Amino acid sequence: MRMRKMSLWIVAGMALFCCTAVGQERASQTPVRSSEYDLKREGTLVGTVVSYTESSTTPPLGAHVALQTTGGVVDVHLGDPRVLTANHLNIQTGDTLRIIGENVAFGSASPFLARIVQKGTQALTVRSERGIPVRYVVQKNGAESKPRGGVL
Amino acid sequence: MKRLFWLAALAVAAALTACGGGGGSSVPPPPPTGGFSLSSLKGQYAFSMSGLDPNGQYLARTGSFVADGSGNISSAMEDVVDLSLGTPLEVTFVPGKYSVLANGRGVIALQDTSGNPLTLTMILQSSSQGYLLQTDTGPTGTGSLGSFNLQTPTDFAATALNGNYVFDFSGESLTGATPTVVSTVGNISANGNGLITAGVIDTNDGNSGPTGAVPLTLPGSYQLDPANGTTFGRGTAQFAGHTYAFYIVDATRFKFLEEDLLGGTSGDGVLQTGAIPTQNAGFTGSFAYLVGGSSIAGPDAAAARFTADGAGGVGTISYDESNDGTPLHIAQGSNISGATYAIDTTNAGSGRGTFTFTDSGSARTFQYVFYLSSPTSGVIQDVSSGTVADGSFFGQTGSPFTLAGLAGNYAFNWSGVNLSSFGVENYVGQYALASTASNNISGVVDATALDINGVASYPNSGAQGTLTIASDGSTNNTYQITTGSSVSPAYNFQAYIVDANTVLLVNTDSTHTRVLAGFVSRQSQ
Repeated sequence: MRMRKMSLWIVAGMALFCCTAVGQERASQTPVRSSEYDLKREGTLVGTVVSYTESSTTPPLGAHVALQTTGGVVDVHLGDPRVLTANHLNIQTGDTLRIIGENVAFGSASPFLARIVQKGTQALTVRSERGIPVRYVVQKNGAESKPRGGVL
Repeated sequence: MKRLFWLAALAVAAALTACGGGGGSSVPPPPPTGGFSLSSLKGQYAFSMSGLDPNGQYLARTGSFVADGSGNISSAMEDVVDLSLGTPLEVTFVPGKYSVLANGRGVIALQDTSGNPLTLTMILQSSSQGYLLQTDTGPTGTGSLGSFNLQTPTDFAATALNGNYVFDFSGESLTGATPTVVSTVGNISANGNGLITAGVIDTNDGNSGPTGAVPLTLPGSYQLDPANGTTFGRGTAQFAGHTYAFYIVDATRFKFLEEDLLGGTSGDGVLQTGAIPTQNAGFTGSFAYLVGGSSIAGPDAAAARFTADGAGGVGTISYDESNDGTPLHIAQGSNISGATYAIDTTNAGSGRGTFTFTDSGSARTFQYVFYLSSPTSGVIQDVSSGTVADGSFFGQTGSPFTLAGLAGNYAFNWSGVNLSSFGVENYVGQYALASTASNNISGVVDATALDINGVASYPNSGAQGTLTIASDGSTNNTYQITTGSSVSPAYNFQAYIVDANTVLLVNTDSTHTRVLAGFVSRQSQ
């Protein structure tokens, strides 16, 4: 049961990264003050990593990447950095990423919250479809982490 | 092997009796004082705990133990759901030991029939209930926290489950595209003869969002466990597409544990009593609540109070939240609009209601569903956009609150997430609250932290601090604690006083270090 679900959780290789141009595709255009994550507002960012911060102190906490897109540098929240590490998604300056997500109001800012992060042929879901960050879980056999929703 | 185990258990008990120095404490705990003793824990108790295992997977346990009032646990069993393991386990324990200090702090040391330890630090609120913290640090250690209640063995019968019960189950769902946090609150009607005849349920999960009120379309069922029902109060129930084990506390309270592997959830079912409002006019007064869960940013917890006017209006809102470590305070004022409530007349008698308000300062609309187990208490689910959270809901009585009126001994728990390590932190403790304006809290705290390196235990640290009551105390009050624990030297909470016996806490540190929430309960002994 859970093994079957794994294939849904880990989206690695679900789509080839065929867009080599560095640009911003259908990014969220709406001036955002919504605190809701809405699939209908999702957009795609494509760009080059300017910087990657594994544990940012800028809210929302966690992994952030500054992505140079055609529209400028966008601060993207990637969630729990351990989910990226456990799934061998190593992000470095100069990498080209494709990120599906949207801007959501948080405090006085509206960061771009990633739901799916793609580097090369590897894509990883880091948020649920309602925007809840997946939670890091160790695999007993040392394999990839299962993305999981957060539990307080 | 067993001898080594009990030597270790005694060592733990010895550590409990130490007056200071636990966890390298620079704030030593005061000498334990109070009226508790071994005889304070006597009888049969149902317990429930939840948290994460060392793999970061959801884990919950629910069970029953028998204490003899002299330091011995004569028998115990539990159901465990650990999503790392998959199959739910029924675990039996060999006879164990426990200790209790004068302040109600103690240790329960158990060992299952396979030799695995289960070590629980407990804080007694009274001889009939208390808080539990698992403190094992080895392979069986988890980051889990819970509570226990004195059972009434004469209610260990299927006929005990008879009436309308309000419940709040929370944990993790595996049914959607992404495993995610889930909250289920609702009301079920049991006929005392094995059938759940009706019910209405609200589910909110991180994939599909709030369902709204969903009536049960098919009857459910429940039965006492033929092997362990009359001895431990264990039974099983099936309703709304899920299967649960339960342990009977008494006819008014059952502890449930989901065992269908569609997810992992647990919580209590509480008998509805009193005149449950069926119209807005029946819902009036001051209320306080505490919720915890996840938002689109990360871990999220909030405490608040409001008043209901009996005509659908909500007023005098005070709200404090830690959303991924970002604090938010809302005070009643011009920023609030659309503050209303509605008792559900479609499902009249279910105790279901909703309330909402909008804060223009944060540009957020807050939305909740609640189910009343009495005219003034129940469970609550946060269904605001981008949020999955739930908790408890209480009538607020006794204001104006004063330190003189609140002074006394208290048990507490805090639970949450460290935002640096993304680990789980759990705390239980005890303190005396004095009526002085400052430095009025003095006590002890036990903590565990679970992160990628495993479980670390921080026992017996001193806890000192100050509860400062603002105005009449009915809104947010500041509550600052300094500890000797190496988990953190300081904690800054907002405290919402429910009544002279209960305080709700949510931490509002602006340093984005952790999201914590918890309960403080007056001890009686």
